[in-house]
Amino acid sequence: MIPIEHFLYISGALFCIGLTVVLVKKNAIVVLMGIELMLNAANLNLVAFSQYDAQLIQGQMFSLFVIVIAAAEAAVGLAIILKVYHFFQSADLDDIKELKG
Amino acid sequence: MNLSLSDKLNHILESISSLYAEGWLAVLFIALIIIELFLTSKKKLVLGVVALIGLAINFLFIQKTGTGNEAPFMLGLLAIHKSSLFFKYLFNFSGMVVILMMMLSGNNKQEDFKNYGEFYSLFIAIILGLNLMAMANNLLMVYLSIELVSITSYVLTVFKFDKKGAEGGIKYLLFGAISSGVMLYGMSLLYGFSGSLVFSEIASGLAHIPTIPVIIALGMTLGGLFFKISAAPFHIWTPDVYEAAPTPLVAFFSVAPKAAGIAVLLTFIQGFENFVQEEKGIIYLLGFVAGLSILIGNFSAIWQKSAKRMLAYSSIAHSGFLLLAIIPLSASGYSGLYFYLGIYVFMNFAAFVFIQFFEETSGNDSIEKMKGTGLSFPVIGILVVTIMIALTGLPITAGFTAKLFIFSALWEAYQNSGEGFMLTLFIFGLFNTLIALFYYLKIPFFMFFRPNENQQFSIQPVQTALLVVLTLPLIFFFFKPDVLTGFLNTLLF
Repeated sequence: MIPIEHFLYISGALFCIGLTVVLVKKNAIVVLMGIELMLNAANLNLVAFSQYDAQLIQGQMFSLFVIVIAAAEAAVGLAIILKVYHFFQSADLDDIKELKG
Repeated sequence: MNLSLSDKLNHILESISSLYAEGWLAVLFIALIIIELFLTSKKKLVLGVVALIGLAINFLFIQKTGTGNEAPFMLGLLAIHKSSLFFKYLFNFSGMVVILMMMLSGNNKQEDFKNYGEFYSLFIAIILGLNLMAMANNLLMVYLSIELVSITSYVLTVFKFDKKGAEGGIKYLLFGAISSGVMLYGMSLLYGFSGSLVFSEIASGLAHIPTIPVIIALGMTLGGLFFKISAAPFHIWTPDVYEAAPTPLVAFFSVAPKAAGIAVLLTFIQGFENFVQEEKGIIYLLGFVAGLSILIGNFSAIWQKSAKRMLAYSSIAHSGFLLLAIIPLSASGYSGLYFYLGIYVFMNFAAFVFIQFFEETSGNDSIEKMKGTGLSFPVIGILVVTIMIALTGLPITAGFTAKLFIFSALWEAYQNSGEGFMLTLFIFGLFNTLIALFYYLKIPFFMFFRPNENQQFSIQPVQTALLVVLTLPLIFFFFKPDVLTGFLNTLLF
């Protein structure tokens, strides 16, 4: 059996990569991809920890829900990005600066 | 809890009796979509009346299901906590005010919705999510209900379908998704440390884990909640979203999701009471976030020209005060918190109702445009002065009483524990109330002490009536705070 540490290394790395992408990249769609990486890092954790759970299944169930919600979030996100592109002719977050005060 | 399948099914069937209110909201959600299909005209009026009646009936369902015991149901996913009933009433009441605001917004040039059916039904879905947040007893349920509220809010932010709306929506979505990603990672770590998703079991499971990883995991989890209540390091989205979204919805965002975030935070903190009492790290974190929110909220609000952005920063500062009420971890702190929330609903909605009606007739919400309004409309002027004094927290309004309860709880905690940390927060909060005076009184200043130039403002009697109904409690509860505290005590204890 693969020891639990290995899962944690991978999920930690995934989470950090996702967070870096979110913070560094300018394109809204790439930022959404970074968010997916963060959510999937958490999924990996949940499934890996699930084998130490007395009920064995809670973490896996949780990750299924997360996958569904991530899909819904991406759908809403892409729809809004489409709207943004329609108004600003760009999906670059630096160009979207109508609101300030 | 290894039950057989038939036992589980029976358990779920029994649980349904505690979920009448939520079931009714789901029915209302679908009913609004179906009714819209059959309507060709007057959609705004008919759908609004249906939603209003639906929410009024929901009060009865809440009352009926609320009187149960505190035992978890739905296989431990949900539980009716002591405070759930109060929060559900609060969400339902604010929902009704928002629908009234929607219906009263007449001959509106800017906010031309074509999709009232979707608007009202999505709005009901937010209330459903908020109710579930107030009852969540399990990390999965916390995540699901927060996402139900958030995703619906992203959609509704864009509902004006204009340039600002799209920008506000994308900012809200990206910040929201990032913070829920961080929260989820924190939750997965908590699950790993304790092997359970239920609050009470996590707290006992954490006992033999080194504190630093636990504080990191808890801090990440709380980050998502801080985003929902727009507390300081996670507040950046607030002014932009408030400026972009339809005004009735902004009023709702500034009250209800904030209260729901506080509800989840309370279940968290009360679930981890023993851990938090021993390890002060979480309390210091809360204190730091509260102080930063108050500071950033107040200082940024001073420079705002748009009334909505100003109230956005003011709502950040109010989140800070709400967090201050949790820090003493005492019964007086909690009852101060509920009182503050009860008053906050009235004063924030009243402020936004005024801004909405002003914005409709004058075209935008800049504070300078309010010149002379108080002189030509004395009744409105006096109401607005009352609301602003209440938001600042000065006497003859209940805003003062609410702040007094919170500060006396903090002082009591300082006297009992002798911690300088509590005293610092106490003094810091008092000074910030003074700063708040500068920007809140800017609106009455422009309304009364600047001459009127080509005034376009006008207000209908119905709209004035709504404003009066929301403002009178602010004065009433100052003279009779025991009415509200008595009501809260019957609900909560």
